[in-house]
Amino acid sequence: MHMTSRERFLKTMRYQKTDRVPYFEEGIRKDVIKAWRTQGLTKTAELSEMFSTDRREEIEVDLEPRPKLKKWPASRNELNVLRKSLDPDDSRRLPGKWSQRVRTWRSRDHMLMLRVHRGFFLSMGVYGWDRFSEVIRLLIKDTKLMREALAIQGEFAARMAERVLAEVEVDAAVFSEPIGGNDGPLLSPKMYEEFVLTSYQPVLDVLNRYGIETIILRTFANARILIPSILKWGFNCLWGCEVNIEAMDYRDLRREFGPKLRLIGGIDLDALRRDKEAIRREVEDKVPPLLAGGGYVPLADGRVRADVPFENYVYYRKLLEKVTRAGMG
Amino acid sequence: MEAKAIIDAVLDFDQEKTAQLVRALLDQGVDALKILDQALIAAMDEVGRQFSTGDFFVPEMLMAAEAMHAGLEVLGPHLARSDIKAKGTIVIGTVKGDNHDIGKNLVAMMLECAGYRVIDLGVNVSKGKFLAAAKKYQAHIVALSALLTTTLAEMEAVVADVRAKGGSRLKTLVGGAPVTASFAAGIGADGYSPDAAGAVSVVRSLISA
Ligand code: B12
Repeated sequence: MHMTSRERFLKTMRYQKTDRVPYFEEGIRKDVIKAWRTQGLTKTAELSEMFSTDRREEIEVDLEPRPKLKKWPASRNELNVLRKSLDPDDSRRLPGKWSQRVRTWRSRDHMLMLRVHRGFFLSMGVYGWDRFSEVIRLLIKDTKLMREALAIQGEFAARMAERVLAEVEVDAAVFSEPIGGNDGPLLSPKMYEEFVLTSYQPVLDVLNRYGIETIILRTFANARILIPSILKWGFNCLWGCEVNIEAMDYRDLRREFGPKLRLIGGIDLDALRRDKEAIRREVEDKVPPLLAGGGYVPLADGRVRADVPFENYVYYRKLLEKVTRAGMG
Repeated sequence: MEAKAIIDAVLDFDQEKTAQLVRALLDQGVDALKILDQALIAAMDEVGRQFSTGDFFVPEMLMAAEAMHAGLEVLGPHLARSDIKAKGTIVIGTVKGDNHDIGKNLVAMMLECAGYRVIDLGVNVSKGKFLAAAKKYQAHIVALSALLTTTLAEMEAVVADVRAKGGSRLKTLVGGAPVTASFAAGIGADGYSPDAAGAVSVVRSLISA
């Protein structure tokens, strides 16, 4: 049974039989490859040829206000400025060479996902402390303004998703939620539902209309206590990056939420920084039970950076292949 | 003294009412330090408690802190400088190479609300600056934040520097997303907390020790 990377992903997410699990690449950048070239990665060797790799691609449409806002609306009559800066028909919002890409995507073999939302904080313009505290204040002191601003973003994100989905058949949609704490989210589940998830509804409606099966929350913080809320809203997959892995042990999540929650990631990157024994324990303990349950794509829980020795990375990839192939029987 | 009304006002995030109640107590001749300890700090203790039980999250914490601040502003001129200084001085900053400050600012804010004098050095702070500021302000604690795994080494260096040159009274407190209790212990830091509310109790035990 040979499958394309795309089939492998789709079937994994459907809990169907596959030849093996997808092996996603860990976002390795050029500087890492450069460092590894001095650690035994030969000049001509390509990681994707050394190890089985399933390509993944993400469509990133531009969801920023254009032109950039000089000042975020401080009252409801100023909201028009935000509304105007979020024009879904602006063609610059689509990635370059759009029609050409759309054509090649039609015959692709790899997994393609669409990033539909950048999360609560970024979509509210939080890149630093001042706007952070302003936004936090609005959540309590001017809930109407906050709700309306979020609704504008939600509607806009929905229209953008629709623009893409009308032309491209994607395999998953990603809502990302980068700002949070390692000990937990910054907003309570109640507030997250009332404000954030409510504003995602138009986007979720579009995704449903286009039959997008896998709806991912990609979080860079400990989002454990938000999981019941996202499931209620129709998310069905969690992808934890750079999270406190002990607090979000995927085996526990599986036990608690069962197959409703598909999982991507879960392998502690710190083990790769440490040594082979740590890697062996991490992979052998965690991967087999998750694999047995299905709906799981094993992946390090963050970007592999230059502090991971090449030798450890090779050991990790080989071990992952061995363990996952054994797991498939 | 009726502390409960002030505590309630802070927990309702009501800045005006907090300020007004503090003013009323001052007018009645109640001692400023007593108002600080038994009403305002007591309120923030309750905020910390509710944070640790998961009833409060960052928005609630921040808004309560602002209400508390409104009270503090009224109180300020009536407090002797020595009152605040006596509780303890903390020098805080994000270590060199790191520009993340949202978490650090929350910690600084909570410590201030707990009645400490907080000297915030900002982000990307070099090793020498921490020690110089600690000496200048006669600090009790140097608190360090790091959000990047690549700046953890810098955190370790600052902790070593403070231990070597800071004298036995000066303690270190560390935190930030990649920092764990075992990392903190490993680099010889005196205290660690995973969050801002917890930082207050760690500081209390460090200063009273
Ligand atoms: C917001 C953010 C930014 C903003 C920073 C805005 C600002 N003014 O702070 C911007 C966009 C500028 C930014 C830049 C970068 N970032 Co950044 N950023 C984040 C993000 C999304 C959220 C951090 C945050 O504010 N969390 C919310 C606060 C409340 O939580 P916290 O900081 O953890 O603080 C809590 C506790 O840790 C603790 N605490 C914090 N400090 C202290 C101190 C003491 C003494 C104590 C006791 C406790 C304590 O209490 C706090 C409150 O409870 C994180 C991802 C994440 N979720 O952590 C990435 C992240 C930290 N960034 C990352 C990276 C790589 C970068 C960049 C290098 C990206 C780039 N290539 O340019 C640059 C670095 C710039 C630099 N030199 O510092 C990575 C770090 C990876 C790693 N493991 O090293 C992360 C994890 C994202 C990722 N997965 O890629 N970033």
